[in-house]
Amino acid sequence: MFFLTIKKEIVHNILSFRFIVTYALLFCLVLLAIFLMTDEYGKRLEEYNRAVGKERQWLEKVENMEDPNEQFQEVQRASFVGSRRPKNLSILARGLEGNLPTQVNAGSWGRFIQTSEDRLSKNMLFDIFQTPDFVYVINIVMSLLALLFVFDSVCGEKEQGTLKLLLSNSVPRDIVLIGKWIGGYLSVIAPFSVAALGGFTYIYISGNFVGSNDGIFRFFLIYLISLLYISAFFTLGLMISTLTHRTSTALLVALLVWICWILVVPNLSPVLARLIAPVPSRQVIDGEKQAIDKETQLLIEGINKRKVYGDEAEMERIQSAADKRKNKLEEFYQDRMRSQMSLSQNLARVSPSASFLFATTRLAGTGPVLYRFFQQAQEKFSEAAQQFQRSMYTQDLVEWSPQGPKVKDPDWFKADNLPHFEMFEERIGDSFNEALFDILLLVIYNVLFFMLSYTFFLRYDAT
Amino acid sequence: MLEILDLSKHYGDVKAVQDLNLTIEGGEIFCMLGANGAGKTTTLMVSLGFTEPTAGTVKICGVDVTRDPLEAKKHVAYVSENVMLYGNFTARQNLDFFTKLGGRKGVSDDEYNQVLQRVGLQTDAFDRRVKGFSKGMRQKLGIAIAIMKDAEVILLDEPTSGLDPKSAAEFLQLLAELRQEGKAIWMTTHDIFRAKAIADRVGIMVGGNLMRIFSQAELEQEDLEQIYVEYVSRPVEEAA
Repeated sequence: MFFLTIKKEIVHNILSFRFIVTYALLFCLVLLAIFLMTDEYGKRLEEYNRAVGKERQWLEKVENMEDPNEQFQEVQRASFVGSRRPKNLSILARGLEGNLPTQVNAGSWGRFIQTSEDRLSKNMLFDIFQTPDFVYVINIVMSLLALLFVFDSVCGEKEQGTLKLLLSNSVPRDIVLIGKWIGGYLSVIAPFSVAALGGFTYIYISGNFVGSNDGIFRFFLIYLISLLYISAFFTLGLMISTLTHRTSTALLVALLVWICWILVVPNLSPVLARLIAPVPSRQVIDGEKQAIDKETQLLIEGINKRKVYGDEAEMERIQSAADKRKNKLEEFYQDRMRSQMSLSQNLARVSPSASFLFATTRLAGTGPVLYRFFQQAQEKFSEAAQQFQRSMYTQDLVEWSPQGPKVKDPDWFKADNLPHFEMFEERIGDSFNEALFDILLLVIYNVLFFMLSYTFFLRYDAT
Repeated sequence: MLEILDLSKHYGDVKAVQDLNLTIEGGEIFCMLGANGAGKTTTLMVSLGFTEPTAGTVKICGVDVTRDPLEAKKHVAYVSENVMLYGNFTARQNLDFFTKLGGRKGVSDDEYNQVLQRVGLQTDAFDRRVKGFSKGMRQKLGIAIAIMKDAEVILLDEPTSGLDPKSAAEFLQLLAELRQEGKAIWMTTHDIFRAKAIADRVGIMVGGNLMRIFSQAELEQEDLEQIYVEYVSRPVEEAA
């Protein structure tokens, strides 16, 4: 009887018009998203490879210079550029991939400039109408389709009159509900899985997973999380169906919940977090730092004027105190910012959509963690650049004469000593552990909705 | 086979059914007459276990519907006023699904064909999607489902309303055949003439009360139409 109800649901869905529409829509959207994002990733990778090639060419040129003094002058003139390799799984979940600079430039003596690709040279409308990625299609389209597939599953049968006939037989209600869930869910995920498999094949053939099983595992995990997310919306739709008695009411409720969870909650949570945990603006913090600098400068100027023994130590103390105050200010800013971000993340988790996005972008390596790793890499790169530049001007390496610098050691230049921009690559196990909280939330949403559906359906008035 | 004992169903202050006592034996057709809101359908819904009674019990083949609804439903088939089936399924697919749901396994295609022919469905409609069926065709398919379930008790809720005279006559002929097979049939209807023509006993229900039951002999002797009109014209309190 159990398999009979599942079979009936599947056949009933397959024979319906909406199944054909869903199938066609999903197949087109998922594949299109993957084609477009693969193309976009390919362009980013090309840009990255070009930048790396340029750097390699420059290194070769410097290495091939016979005169160490000329070599020194060439390195002295250079500004170190680090390139960020694009994430291959941004094909599935773009996340912050498009928002972070693709290159960082450590200027001379620690001056640090961030550069990004030349945005003005490309069509700005691409930023307004961004290419939908795989995760976007699931988050927006698939959640809606799952709801539309099931919103009338119970109330529609009541309205149509088949529920009375169905329940006039000796079939337990829980079997009917579970049969509806399994049959309906399989009908929804079948077209999605076919489309996802098509997308995976395309990514694999286009060589974006070559040499790494890591990417394949991550794809598979993202696919499983997507199934969990689709199931959450499907079960929610089933719950709405067991709560209402008319399809029109069910449709209205389903759309309302979808709008709230997909559009309102995730977009409103940063605003709410800003109100609950305000952070002073960057300008205010920078203004404060400038005020400290000004104050320090005045104090130092005052000390300089009086010219008393021991003033140097006093000036150092003042400078160090000012640096401490500035660091404290920066730490305060970063702490508040972290709290605000964490609060907005937690508020957004009221919606399964946010949990899904956090989990998938974590696995794709393009979520908020990309920004953190980028910042860390940027700091390291900056420090390494400063250290390298300082090491160039030590008296052990170079002697200064009116003709220019004279390098003492002809083999001073070693490419390995140059600063490298390297971003931390999180292992798949660690990414999964970090995403586990959001995955568990999705599981909880599933269980909660199903339990409520079950409770409502046991009391459902079939007449 | 169908035993209703002191059955009452109240919705707040509204007494939909009040102290109803009735027994229908196998090989009998019982027609319940009554205006809209008389409590006929409510009694059916309680008998099917969809609604719990306020008081009293309904037993089908000795099984209390409220205590053991799943066991009771094994012995009952239901045909509604407007049989609605899965529109995307063909007549055969619908019949197959509900037959299996009723607990019968290993039914051959021939058996399905025979029952569909028996209820008078045209052969070319067997494998057509039900969403294009007329009401008459759906009613026939509904009775085919009830036949295939082979239940001892058949509950029919105004099954002939909206049917053309030919289809209604064919439908009643089928009921007569099922009576011959020993089924206990309860049919609610507004149609006095058809009730008189087919029923072994006829009851009149007004305001949730079963006012009177006519035996076959009484039906032949008395003017059922006049008595029915008198009952339904009186205020409920007076009629009770």
